[in-house]
Formats: sequence, structure tokens, C-alpha cells
Amino acid sequence: MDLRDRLREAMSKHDVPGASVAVWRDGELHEAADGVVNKGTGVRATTDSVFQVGSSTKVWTAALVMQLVEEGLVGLDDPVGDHLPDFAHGAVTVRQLLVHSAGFDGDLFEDTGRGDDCLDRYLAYLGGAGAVHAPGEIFSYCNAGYCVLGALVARLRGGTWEQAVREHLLRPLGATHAVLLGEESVYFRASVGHVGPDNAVYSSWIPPRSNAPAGATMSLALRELVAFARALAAGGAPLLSRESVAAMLTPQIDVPGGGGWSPGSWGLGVSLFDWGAYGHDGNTPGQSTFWRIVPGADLVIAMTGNGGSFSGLVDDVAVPVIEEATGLTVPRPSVPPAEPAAVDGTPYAGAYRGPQYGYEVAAVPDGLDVTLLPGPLMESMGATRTTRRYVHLGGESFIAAEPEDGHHDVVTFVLRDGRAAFLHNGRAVARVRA
Amino acid sequence: MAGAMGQRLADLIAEYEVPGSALAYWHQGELHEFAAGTLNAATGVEATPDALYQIGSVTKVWTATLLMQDIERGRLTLDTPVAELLPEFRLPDPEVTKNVTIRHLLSHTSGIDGDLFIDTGRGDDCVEKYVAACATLAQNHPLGVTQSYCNSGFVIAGRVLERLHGKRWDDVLREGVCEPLGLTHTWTLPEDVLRFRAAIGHEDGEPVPQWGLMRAMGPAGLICARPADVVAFGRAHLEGGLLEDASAMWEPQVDIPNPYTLGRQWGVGWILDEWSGQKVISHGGNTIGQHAMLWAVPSTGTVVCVTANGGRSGAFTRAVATELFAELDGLTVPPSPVPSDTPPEVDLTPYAGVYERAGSRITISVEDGAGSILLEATGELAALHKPEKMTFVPIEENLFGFRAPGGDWLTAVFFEPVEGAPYLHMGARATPKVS
Repeated sequence: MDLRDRLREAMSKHDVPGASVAVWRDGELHEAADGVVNKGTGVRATTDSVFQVGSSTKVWTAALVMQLVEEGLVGLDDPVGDHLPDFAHGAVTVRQLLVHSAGFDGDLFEDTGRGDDCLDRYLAYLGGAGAVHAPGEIFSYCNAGYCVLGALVARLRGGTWEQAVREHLLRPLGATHAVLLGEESVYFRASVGHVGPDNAVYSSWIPPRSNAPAGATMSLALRELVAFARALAAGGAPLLSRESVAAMLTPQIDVPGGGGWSPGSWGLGVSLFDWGAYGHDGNTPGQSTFWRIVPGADLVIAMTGNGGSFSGLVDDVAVPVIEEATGLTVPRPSVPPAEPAAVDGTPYAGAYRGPQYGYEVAAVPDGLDVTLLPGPLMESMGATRTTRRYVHLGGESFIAAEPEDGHHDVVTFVLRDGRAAFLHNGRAVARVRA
Repeated sequence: MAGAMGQRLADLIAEYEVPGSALAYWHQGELHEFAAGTLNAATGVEATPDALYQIGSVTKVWTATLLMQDIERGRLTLDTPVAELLPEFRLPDPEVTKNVTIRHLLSHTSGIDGDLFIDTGRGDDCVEKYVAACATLAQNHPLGVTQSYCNSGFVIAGRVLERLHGKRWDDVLREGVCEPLGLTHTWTLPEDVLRFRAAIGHEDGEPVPQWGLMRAMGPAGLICARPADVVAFGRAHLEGGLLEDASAMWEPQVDIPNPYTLGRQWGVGWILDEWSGQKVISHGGNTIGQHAMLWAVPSTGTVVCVTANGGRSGAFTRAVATELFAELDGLTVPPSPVPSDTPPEVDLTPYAGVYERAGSRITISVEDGAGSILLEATGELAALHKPEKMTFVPIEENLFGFRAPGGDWLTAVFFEPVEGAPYLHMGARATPKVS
């Protein structure tokens, strides 16, 4: 089916206001876009429209760090404090930051202003971040760590993170539809996020600039994400050496409960999928990005949507495109077993808290009752306090009995001395009390 | 014809090579909105009445209004010295530092060099840093003796607001004007603007390379709004909603030595003029490739705002005003004076010489009985503007006209704000004779 028809049909089915997709396949770029970039203005989405790519930005930041490594300015195992002496958690290494094992609270979206000093101020703010786990102990998705890496790049390049992205990545790539600040986005048909059941335009366009290196402000036409991916897939030129790309794609740390549909492990900045793909997804309020590279098949797909059910768009557009192009079977997200095993929930029961949300877990006869306690940011995106039944999936993993947005959420517990120390859903959320 | 203004607007943007425009006016209890063209020639997004344009220096009336609100609350007066409100405030001249007042700033009579365009960053400390940089500004004319357009004075006024409220100027504006009037399409920062259709400026038909001016200029000119919001702001000055006595802002503060460009007098923030015997209060704005005008007529209650994102935008908005006010209120917009085919005999020799202020040098010469004017940018902007020499033609005893090839006639007036101190007034600025 024609890519645009497929996109349009899926958008209609899943109530997505605007979307764009770019596919590199058989040596050619295929692009499609449909809908609107903003329901408030009705401006049409085109393949030139720029969408916030969220955490897909982390791979760009990782590439900037690898360039520093290539130039001998930084060592992967250097304590970051060697280069950022004013940073309170200076003992963590550059590698730990890249692989999300630094151990401090990761979901700290403090807005330290729109000035060029925002990352320095964020570093100071991060001095008060709590410790979730010991450095290197475990994978725990860490946005804050990528802000530290952004500060490292800015400091060593003698400018801002944005300047480094422009000079060392966008310019060599010849990217024309790639923007990092609002005053640049305003030149384009720029997408806004839509949230909630009515797909309301999200109240602000920009997540804080302090979070830019982790994924906040960068907005791209999807073909630019494909161009970056193709540079990686082709061995790095003109951005990186072959060795750097190889290191980025080598598994460095396993993701607890990962594998299958989800990343099983992480390289240096890149999430790695057991079925032969790598990439990085991204989310900002009301905007989502899906980005996969299948190196064996010379396939790259980047897709973004600005509201509704993005997972539906992934299921109905991205997955079929990948499977048709590669002959691979992409593992499907987990579903609850027909007959869940009975498990003693006692080791898992308790309260777990992170900076943006918490969980309360209660053992019940056929599994666990998990109550999500959203903080203000999650509430602004439509989350509410909800209790859901989880059943045993396998190992220390439990799966929501009912789907949400088409998928069943999975949580994995990390045990210490026979008792859960962390609830893990990509992030390690530490137990706060029995 | 007002009902047909939609088509008329499309005709006029074509005539004046304006890529896109929006027009809103309030007349006899009704709001009318029109739009034509495109917001951005590169994306082709069509102009709609809801689109935001940079209204540039129209912002100055908003900043003045915010200060008048604080004056009505008794927190200061028009004659409060800036230094009382900002103890750290410094200009090179200690007497001016001590004596310059809010009234001087809001009526462009401080004499402080007005054209300081420096980038103090995109952070929330940008206005504060800008005001600190004013410590080096030259004094253009003695305090209070005449009017000379002063952007820097409005940034200083913005800093006063930040100090009084303990907030960014952007937030003071939001709370003082946007929220009380329910303005949904009025913003100052690009990350807010881009949630709406937003105009990009054009030069020679192409989008300009930089979207907007440096953020520090905010209080002097960085509001982006749809014309209907600007009209709502204008209406509040006629009908109430922001101030107890908005007419205090159209009390004349100073005569404009060259009354042929913007108006005859400056009030508090507003420019004051008279059309067909009726008082008209107005302000215009120019940014990078964008232009806006706001006019309000207290006697009829009519308020008009028109915007343009390039082309011959000044002549365009003048043409819109001329047609619209004739039809709505029977008012004649006074035409700009132009030299006659047989100019009067005026001896230019006494005026010949060099006039100079920060950033600008104007040389008036007489050669073989023919006058000329040479305009040169100096300082940091010298590289951006080529020197321009034009014929300088007498219109009246102390009034002369000149124009660039293909451009509209501009006027210059010679005057002495202080006896024995000759100045030239053009482009709303007074420039002293230096040799």
C-alpha cells in the first residue's frame, strides 16, 4: 500500500491529528505526511514540517560525546567531574551517563531558563538530585544524565550544546529542516503536541531548554532523522569514525525486563533490539517519535505523530513497513498469559517513588494491584491516579491485565536479598517503604 | 467599501508587494477582520486574521500603559526619577543619570542615545543586562529640550517594570494587559508564538534570515499579536479596561520638530496627530521585515490595526489608513509633504554641515547651488548599510525632502531646540550639528 494512504488510514483509525514518516528503503527515501501540525491553526502537516523528536535527541548528544572521545578530549571512563569540576556527582563516568547507569534521579525537568547559561544552572540544580542506585549498578533511564553530557559537550566545545549540534552534526549532514530553538521553529510548519481524549493543543510548545540535550527542543523533518541514521548505518561518515559507531552499537548494559518489543540492552546512547535493530524513541508532551535502523536490510524508518494513539500508528504503519522491507518478524508487545501463574506478591508489595511519579503495589490473590501516583507534569499530560491489576508475566515481570492505548504495560522488579528494591519500567523506581 | 475590504486588502498587498497582511478594525460597535496573502513565502502557509505578526514599536504603548497602571496605583509618578526606582542606573552624564524621569522615557525626550541594539542573550536577565550597558550611551541632546526617538528609553522603562513587579517584563505585560483584556493571541517569546500561525518578515520577497530582534528589546518592541488583539488594546484606551484615565496618555508632552512623519506631538507612549480636526492617537512598529500600525480616534471610537510582513509596507499601511478612515469616519489622512515641481528658493548654506549622533552621520552639502544629503551608518552598523547620497530639495523655509531611487519622499526639518544649537530632525530623531 502507498505509504501516505497507509499513514492516513492509520491516523484516522487512531485519532492522530498530524503525522509524518520517512523511510529509507532499497536505496531510496520515501516520505509521507498528513493531517495538521496544530489543530488550533489548521496548518497542514507536510514532509517539510518539523516535529519535536524528544529523546531521539539523545543519540545526537551521544554522537557529540563520541566526537570528543575521538579527539582525545574525553575518555569514556573518565569521571565526568574531571571535565565538569562544578558538578556534584562528578564521580560518575562518561560511559555511565551514556548507558543510563549513573544512579541519580533522572526525571528532573527543572526549567533553568532560556538563556545560554541554562545547562550550567541545571548542573548546579542537579547537585541536589537524589541517588536511586549506585553508579554502574543497574540500567535506569536517565534524562538528567544526558543534560550533563550536553553540558560536557558545551563546556569542551566552548559554546552552547545547540552550537555544537549545528556545527558538528547538522552542518556536516547538510540538514536544512532541523531546528533547536523556538525562533528557528517559527520558520517552519512546526508541530505542537495534542493531549488528552480531545486532542487538545498542549499548553506550551517547548519543554525546558535545560533538557535539550536529553530531548526537548530539537525539531526535525523526519528525513533529517533518516539522514543521521544513514550516517550511523554507513559507518559514521561524515560525523564519526567506524570505531565510534561500533562502540555505540555494542551492548553495554541490559535493561531489566527488556527484550522482545522493548530494547533488550543499551549501547552508548542507542537502544538495541534483540531482533536486529537499533534506534531511539522520543516523547515530548503530545508528540511521539519512533525511530529504527535495521542494519542488515539497509532500512531506516522514522515516524512521528502529534497526538492520539501513537502506538496504534506504530502497529499499523511502522511495523508492517519494517516487516515487508526486511522479511523479519518484529516481536509484538507482550500480552498477559491466558493462565497467569500464581505468585506470592509479598516481595513486591510496597511503595516506590521517583521525582515525577510513584507507585503503590499491593499483593492480591491473582497478582498485584499497582497504583500510579502521577506528579504535576504527568497530570498536565492527562495522567490520573489509577489502580490497575497486573498478573505474572515471567521472572520478576508483571503485566497489566488490561491494555492502555493498545498495549499492556509491563513492570519488572529488581530484587535484593529476596525483596524488591526497585520497580523497573525502564526507570528504576526505588522502594521507599514496606 | 468596508464590507469589500477583504478584496481591497488583497489588491493593496499586490500593489505594494506585501507578501501577507491582516487588518482588524472596530467601528460603531463591531469588529471587522481581514487577511490576505501568505505568512511565509517559503512554507506557503496562508495568512488568516488569527495569525500573529510582530507589532514592533507598537509595543511601546503597551509598556507605557503598564507604567501608567503603576502610576495610578501610586507606586510612582511620571516625574519620578529613574534613579530612584533603579538605584544602580548609570548613564555617562551624572546629572542626566540623576534627573531623567519616567516622563522623559515615555515621551522620547531624555536625549539618551536611542538606538542601542545589543544582544544580551535570550535569558530572563536580558533587560537587566541591557540597562547596565546603557552606562556607555552618548547624550544626544540636553535632557528634556526636544523629542528624539528612543528605543533604549523604553527598555529602561521595561526594567523599571521588572523591578516594581519582581517579574520579567513579559510576565508584567501578561498580567497587566493580556489577562485583563482576555487577549489569547498576544505573546512575546517565539516558543509561544509558534503555537499560532505566525508571520515571518520578508525582504525582497524572501523570508528574512533572522526571525526577530534580540530579546532585550522586548519592552521597546517585541510583542507578537493578531490585529484583533491590538484593536482590543486600543479600544481599552478609549473605552476603559486598563486605566482609570487613559486620556492622560494622550496629553501632549512635546512637539515633534518634524511633524510630517509620524504626527505632531508625542504624548505618553502615544503619537498624537490631528486629521480633519479630530485627534488621532497612534503608534507604528517595524521589525525585521515586519510592520504594523495602530490608530485610534477618541471622538469616533474607531480603532484600526494593520500588519504587513514585507514589501513597501509603510506606504501600504498608509494607503489602507487613507481609504479606511475616509470611509469609516470621513477623516482625511494628511498626505506627506512632497517637493513641488518648482521648489521655493531656500538658501541651504546656513544648514550645510555634518550632523552626527551615535550610529549615524548626516552630511548636508551645497554644490553648484544644488543641495544633497549623505546618510552614513557609523559604528557597529557601518558595514550593514551602504552610504547613501540623495538630492535634498526645499519644500519650505526649514523643511526639505529627499528620496532614495524608487522610494517614497522623506522629510527633514532644521531647528534649534536650544538657541544657537542647530539640529536636524528626520526619521523621528534629532541629530545635532557637529561641524
